[in-house]
Parts: sequence; C-alpha cells; structure tokens
Amino acid sequence: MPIGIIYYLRLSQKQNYTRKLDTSVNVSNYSFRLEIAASLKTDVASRERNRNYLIERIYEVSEVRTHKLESKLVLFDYLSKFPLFGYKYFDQFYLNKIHNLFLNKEHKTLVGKAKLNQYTNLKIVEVNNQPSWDHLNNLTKTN
Amino acid sequence: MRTPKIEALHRLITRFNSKHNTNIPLLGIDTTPLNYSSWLSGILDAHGTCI
Repeated sequence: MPIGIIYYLRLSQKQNYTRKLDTSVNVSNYSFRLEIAASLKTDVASRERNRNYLIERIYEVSEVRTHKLESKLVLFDYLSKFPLFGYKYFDQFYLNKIHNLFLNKEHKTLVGKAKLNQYTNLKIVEVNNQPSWDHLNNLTKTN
Repeated sequence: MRTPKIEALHRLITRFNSKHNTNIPLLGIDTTPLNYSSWLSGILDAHGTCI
C-alpha cells in the first residue's frame, strides 16, 4: 500500500543561450528560470546532463521542479486556464488526476491505488495508441 | 519574448527590415506576469516533463 507518491512537473533547459556561429553570444537563461520558479513558488536547481548523441555530451542544465504541494497547486491552477497542446497534454491530464487522488488522500486506499496504476498506464497507452486530439479545439480559446 | 533568444528574433527583424525596407520595431523582453498568458504553457510543452 503506497503511503506517499512522488509526482511533479520538471522544466529543464541548458543554462546558457549560445550561438555556434557567434561565440560572443552567451547569455544566461537564469533570470527567466528564476521568474518561472518564483511564479510556481519553487526554486531553480542545477545539475549535469549527459547526452550521448550530442557533440557537447555533458552540459549543465537548470531545472525548475514542482515538488512542493504549493507549487503543484499553482501549476494545476495555471494549466486549467492555459492547458498544454502537444503530447504532454495527456501527461498533464493524468498527472492532474493523480494530483486529485493525492489531495483527497485516495491514494492511501486500495481503490485509489488501482486508480493510480490506471492513470499511470493510461498516460503511456494514450500516447502510443493514436490519441484523440479533441483538446486542440480549445486552442483558439486561450490567449 | 521572455528569453535571451530575443537576440535571434532581433537579428531576424533587423535583416528583414534591411532587405524589405520595413520598419518593424525591436521590442524588449516581455515582463508581464506569467499567469496572464499561455507563454509558460508553451515552454512547458517544449521543455517540460511530467514524472
């Protein structure tokens, strides 16, 4: 029986904006990361990322994670007004359901655990099985 | 725009203005509060991960 679940949304990007053709362009992304973090009531963390398929294999990224409940509440409130539209819409949709399970403490029950598994699986199945893109009809309704 | 990538947009506009004899202004960084627009959704769609 799970007593705690870990779920969050992570935003991760290279620390600096650079241009290969003009090496004088090297500007930190930190200020707008900080703005996002402040808006989501969280903070910016740094970590090293390793990508085998890139020439610059190891690079520093800054991350914003909604690991605190307060951050999640702000995030889901924002996403209810301005939803995602790509494949990540389905992640957002089911993560929101998991979030509601957590808020209602349902995740501590057997029924809640079954729902948790269902939402986690649906998150993957939906994307892999020609999902409905009906949510794109709302595209013109947001700013 | 809100990010340093505004540099690329400014380069494009400058080139466009020069080539087509237009006068599109180079606006500064957008500083309106994040919860007033879908900008954050856009960047989450591009760079976010749900775990």
